[in-house]
Amino acid sequence: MLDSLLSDLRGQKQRCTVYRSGEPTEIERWLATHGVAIESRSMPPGGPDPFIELETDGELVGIIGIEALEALIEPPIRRPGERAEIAEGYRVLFEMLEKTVFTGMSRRDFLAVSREIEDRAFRVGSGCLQVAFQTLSTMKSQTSVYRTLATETDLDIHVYAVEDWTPPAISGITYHTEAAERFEPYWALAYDGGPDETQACGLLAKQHSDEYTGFWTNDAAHVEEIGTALSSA
Amino acid sequence: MKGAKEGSNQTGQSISGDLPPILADDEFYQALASKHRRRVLHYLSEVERATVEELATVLSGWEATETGTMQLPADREQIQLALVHNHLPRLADAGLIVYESHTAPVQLESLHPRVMEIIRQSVEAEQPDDS
Repeated sequence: MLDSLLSDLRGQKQRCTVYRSGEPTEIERWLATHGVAIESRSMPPGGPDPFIELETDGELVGIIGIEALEALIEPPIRRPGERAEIAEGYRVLFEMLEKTVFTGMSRRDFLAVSREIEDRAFRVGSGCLQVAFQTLSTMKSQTSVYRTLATETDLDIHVYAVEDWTPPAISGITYHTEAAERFEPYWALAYDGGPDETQACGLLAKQHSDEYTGFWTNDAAHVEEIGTALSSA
Repeated sequence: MKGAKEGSNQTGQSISGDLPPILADDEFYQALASKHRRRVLHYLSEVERATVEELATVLSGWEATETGTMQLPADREQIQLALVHNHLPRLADAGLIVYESHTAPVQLESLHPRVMEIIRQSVEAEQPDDS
């Protein structure tokens, strides 16, 4: 089920075309090395700064200057407060980028996104947070983070991992080790947003040797799919 | 790589007394009396031919870089309508492009280097100075 969620999103045809007169832009190279189909068109010198056309399934999403785009997509997940101020058009752009499956991602990339999700769950303080850690020993270095999450909030935390280490019993955390082998290649987080669905966020990544392929999302329906896949073990 | 386009080439001297007749044509200046039309010609000077949609994308993107905001499908649609009903027919009437229908590619006419130079300068003059 996690696999089909990944391949469903990969099936969406995202296409980006950069218009520029000079060398490839940094973001263009980044998108290209992370599995996003990207083309470029040559502009004559003396024209505008580079800009990018974004399409999903052949439909235009928007056209935006590279400089403005770079400012927008860092960090990967915007805080909800900022999102409220973002115009409708940008939401469409975020939705497109959020549903983009990136390849060749490092552990660090997804660790940063995981921190954002845990941080948001902590600030909301209630709801359900599901985490697939691959193996329980991976959780070792995060024990204090999860102890804080469990004891200082009303969060209901579920950890899915293969048992290769015995974690401390913490009230508020339920460990699921049976049938966790099937999740072993996956790194997944799903936070339902508690009382506020707009706070839902999640990530799903699959490990291939040292690299990960995956996506992050603020879309409640996708978060729910990740959560359902984990809890149906 | 594009060095051959820079500066004066072998025709530089010989054209001094050889001004193209289009430079005395009112329609030529009317055709250039719009930022959008000058930009269309500037882009075509690089690619020579383009679809109407591609031209609309270029004009939208150009605006996006100036405003720092995103251009939405409706914005491009509006520009595309203006191209089809106004800008492209005018450029064609002035003999600067070949434009037959909104579904056919738009093509730059073979233009005198002096005319190309005016188009290039008109666009470069509106770009903010980076220095």
